[in-house]
Amino acid sequence: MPKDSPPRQRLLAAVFAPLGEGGKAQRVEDRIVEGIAAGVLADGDRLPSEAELASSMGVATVTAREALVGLRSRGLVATRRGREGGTFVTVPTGRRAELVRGRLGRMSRVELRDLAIHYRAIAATAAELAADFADPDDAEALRRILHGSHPSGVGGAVVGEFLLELAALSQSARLTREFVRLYKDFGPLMSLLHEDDEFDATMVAYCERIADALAAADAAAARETVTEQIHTGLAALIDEHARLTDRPADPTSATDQRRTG
Amino acid sequence: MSSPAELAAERHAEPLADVTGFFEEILAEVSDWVPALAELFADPARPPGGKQVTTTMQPLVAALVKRGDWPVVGAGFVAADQAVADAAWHMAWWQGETMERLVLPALASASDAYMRREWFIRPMATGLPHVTGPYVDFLCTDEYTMTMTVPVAAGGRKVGVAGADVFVESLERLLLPALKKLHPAASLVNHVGRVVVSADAQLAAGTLLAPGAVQAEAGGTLVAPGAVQAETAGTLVAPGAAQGEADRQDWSVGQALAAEESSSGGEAIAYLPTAPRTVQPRGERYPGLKLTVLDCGRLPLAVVYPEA
Repeated sequence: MPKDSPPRQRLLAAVFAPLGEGGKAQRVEDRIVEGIAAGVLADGDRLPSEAELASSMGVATVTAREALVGLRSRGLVATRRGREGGTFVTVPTGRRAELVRGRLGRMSRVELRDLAIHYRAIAATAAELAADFADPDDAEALRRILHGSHPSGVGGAVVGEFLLELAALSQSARLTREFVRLYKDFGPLMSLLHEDDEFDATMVAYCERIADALAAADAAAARETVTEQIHTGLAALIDEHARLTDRPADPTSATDQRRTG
Repeated sequence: MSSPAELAAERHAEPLADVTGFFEEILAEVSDWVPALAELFADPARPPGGKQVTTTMQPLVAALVKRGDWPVVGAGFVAADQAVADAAWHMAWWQGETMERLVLPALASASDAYMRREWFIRPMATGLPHVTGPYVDFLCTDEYTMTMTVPVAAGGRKVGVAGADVFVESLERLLLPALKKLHPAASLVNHVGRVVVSADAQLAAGTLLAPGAVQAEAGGTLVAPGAVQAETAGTLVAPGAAQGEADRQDWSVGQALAAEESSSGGEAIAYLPTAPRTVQPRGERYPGLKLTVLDCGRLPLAVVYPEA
């Protein structure tokens, strides 16, 4: 059973947050699919019960049940009876990555860059504040994340957890919430790149440098390093996007390419 | 015959009690849940199910969260790993006046994220009440938060922590009058010296102002017997000997004096006396000045103010 990391917890909160009106069962279903695509809900995870889903998302129990029926028919979850029973996510890592690649392929290059700019603005400011506020124990706790065991199975989970804890060290609840919101979009895309060990090691090395900057209370270095890290990530993401959209056989991506020039 | 330190102690005692009283009362409220929980977990061979824990806790927590006069935003009990019968872990925690139950932690694999949090591991490790924060709580409240937790022991093992959350912003109105009485620039700081709330309007909550102000091992903090090394324990009060020892000490202001029974298992624990002291402020706010430290009894908190 994969273990959780805090960003995943936060993202879970987004998945199960209250819904507005209209097409509710479909929207409950969509939310959970998003959660699966983002790797927030991993293969083998047990979903909350119908009653818990209903209460958490602010819908009727019958609506939650309908959504689960939809997910089951798409083969994304399975229900087991008995004492150890419940509804479980049944999406192998490979298929999850496919869902994310699909999303990346449908994005434009402009959209990607814009997302990264917003994400960088928030993450870099958070890092700067964190370096101002952190005590030596905080820097150590951050380092432990990089060196701990992370059997989550989702690429980049360690870096994601590191960056969320970093954002929280800004002592700003608003900035942390904004970081989470953006990471929910940006993180899953990055997880594709983290499948490459060399890329993963590069990103972790940036995190080490950020922890160094925090330990030295060097706000400028913290900001610069985060900026550089996201810049490097974006460059790789744009490459991946180009590879995906260059496939002439796929009419969807060809359209994308014309649109983004 | 009164020394300057004694005079200061007298002058400070009341407003300091007003500052610490809020935290003490919340810790007392959540400690009141311990007997009910201890009964549930009394037999290690027959641990309760999660549902049983939730049912027991719900009315207790409701009484605290719905109290209009306290800014408690959430409270409950988090069971330790393998403590309940039917799940790897269990969280019975509610938020807001509507008593919204946190269901995300119901995901079995969520334990990891929760169980390495300071508000959980500190009381579990020390067996003592703890005050965590100010911190951005991205797991529960999603806000800038303080969390007060006490360990729960039963059947010879630690079965979890009970606690309550308050928003840092709600402490401004609550604690500023008393802080201002202590000193126009008095700051309440946590165990790492981080500002919780300050009478100095330019000192933001979260600022690391006074590292070393709260000394876990040699300060006015509650210490379990055997937890202190001989070298740092020159002033250690042996359980039962507190009173006699206290007579010979130059106690610092606002210090809790007596050894007492721990709420977490009946072991005798003692407060350590410290001489009135100062620490060096961190940062640029008070250049060239030192900070006077007022201990907050058994709480891992201190009030500090710049020395003119």
